Amino acid sequence: MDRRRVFVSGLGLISPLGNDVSVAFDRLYAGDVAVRRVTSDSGMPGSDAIVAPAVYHVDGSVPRVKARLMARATQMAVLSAGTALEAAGLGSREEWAGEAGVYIGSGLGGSEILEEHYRRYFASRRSRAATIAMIMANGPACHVSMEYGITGPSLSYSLACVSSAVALGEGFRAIRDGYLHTVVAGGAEAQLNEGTVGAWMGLGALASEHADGPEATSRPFDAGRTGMVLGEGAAVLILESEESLSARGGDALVEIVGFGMSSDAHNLTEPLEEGQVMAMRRALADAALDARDIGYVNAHATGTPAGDRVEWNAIKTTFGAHAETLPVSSSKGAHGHLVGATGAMEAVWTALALHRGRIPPTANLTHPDPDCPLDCVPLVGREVEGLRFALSNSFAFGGTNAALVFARV
Amino acid sequence: MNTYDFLRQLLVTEFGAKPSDITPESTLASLGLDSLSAVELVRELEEEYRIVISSEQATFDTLAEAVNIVDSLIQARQG
Repeated sequence: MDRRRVFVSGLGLISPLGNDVSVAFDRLYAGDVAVRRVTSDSGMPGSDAIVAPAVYHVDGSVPRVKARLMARATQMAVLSAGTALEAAGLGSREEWAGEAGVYIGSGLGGSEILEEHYRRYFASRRSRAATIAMIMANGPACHVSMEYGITGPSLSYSLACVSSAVALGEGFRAIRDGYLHTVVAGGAEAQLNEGTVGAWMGLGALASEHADGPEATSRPFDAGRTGMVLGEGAAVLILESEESLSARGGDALVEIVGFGMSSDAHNLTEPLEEGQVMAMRRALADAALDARDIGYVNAHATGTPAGDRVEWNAIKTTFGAHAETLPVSSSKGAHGHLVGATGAMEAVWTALALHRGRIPPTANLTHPDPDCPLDCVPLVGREVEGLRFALSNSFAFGGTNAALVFARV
Repeated sequence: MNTYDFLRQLLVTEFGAKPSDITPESTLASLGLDSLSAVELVRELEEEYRIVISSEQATFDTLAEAVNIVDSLIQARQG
């Protein structure tokens, strides 16, 4: 059959920049930073760490009888999905949920539940009955299916930092290739519990506090970058076929036109330029676009010295001479690295950048690395006329790479 | 406090039940608890009263029945 066109009809998120999609994008565009020091005295999970916590407190938004069976990432996914479905105008379940699927990625699923379990088990030999069902990485996807009555396939991708980019890409393919008409797609991650933050600290990839303080610490592409900052949150995008959208008179925000993936087959934690180039080129080919058609790249760039370097080289190789004038920004300066949720969160920013013709800046980019050949949109957002296509990158430990291409509608 | 009051408190603080919804004739399902939550509630009762509730005993319908089962197990333990 002919390929279906796939549109994004609704957005929802819970993020370090807040939970109103439009306001959060405005904050990102304005150069706001949601990174701060969190200590155990504040009541947040995690010890003394510089992180970007989501603006989410268990407050009854999810009724307690349900929330007690849902890990933090799952709660955020369910709430974000609700916001996105409402924004899309998809209310009554019977109309669409039978032809819909859930594609939601998460790196660790119920990270804090696993920690609570170990603490309880080794101290008392006891386990909560709900533990297994709460730690599993498919918790977010399954609870979204349960909450909104979605009876098509529920898939969860656990691919570290590309989990939700792949969830989006596979959801896009499912509609394009005729399997589904609607996909609730996205990602959720809540890894800021003390034990997991400690494990990240052990890896040595986290940034040291910048001289200007916690807010200045996540600085992708900057000469003074020292590593990544962990964030948490959830983002959901409603994907719909053209037929479904027009049949119900819904509105499209942007169109997804291409998805490309690759595996580095190289190293567990070190990125590879060739692999990233392959993913971007495959995405462009999938979209039947030339590199020169892209007007904005939302980079993966986490602020690690090596990672940012490999990515700017990969972008230079992929886009050639066009890279000299192509704006490339990373939103991780503002909200850190959301790991499994990062692909979807950045897809939200990319979609809104296209929709509004406004490219968000790279926060904290006060001294661009002199080796970086790209225009990384330092500090100040940019209004751009005629922005038609944008590409969003995500690259993960394990060497999985993903790129999504979006088109303005 | 007596068993019913403890059970009521547990339902409110741990399971988010509204106090005004709880009566001796309430079932767990009517208070929004699914089967997994029911298992966890039974475990809480077992830990609080140092009793073992068999899977057959755990299939009570109303809170009044649950209280009867717990009280008789407490008596058996003490006896």
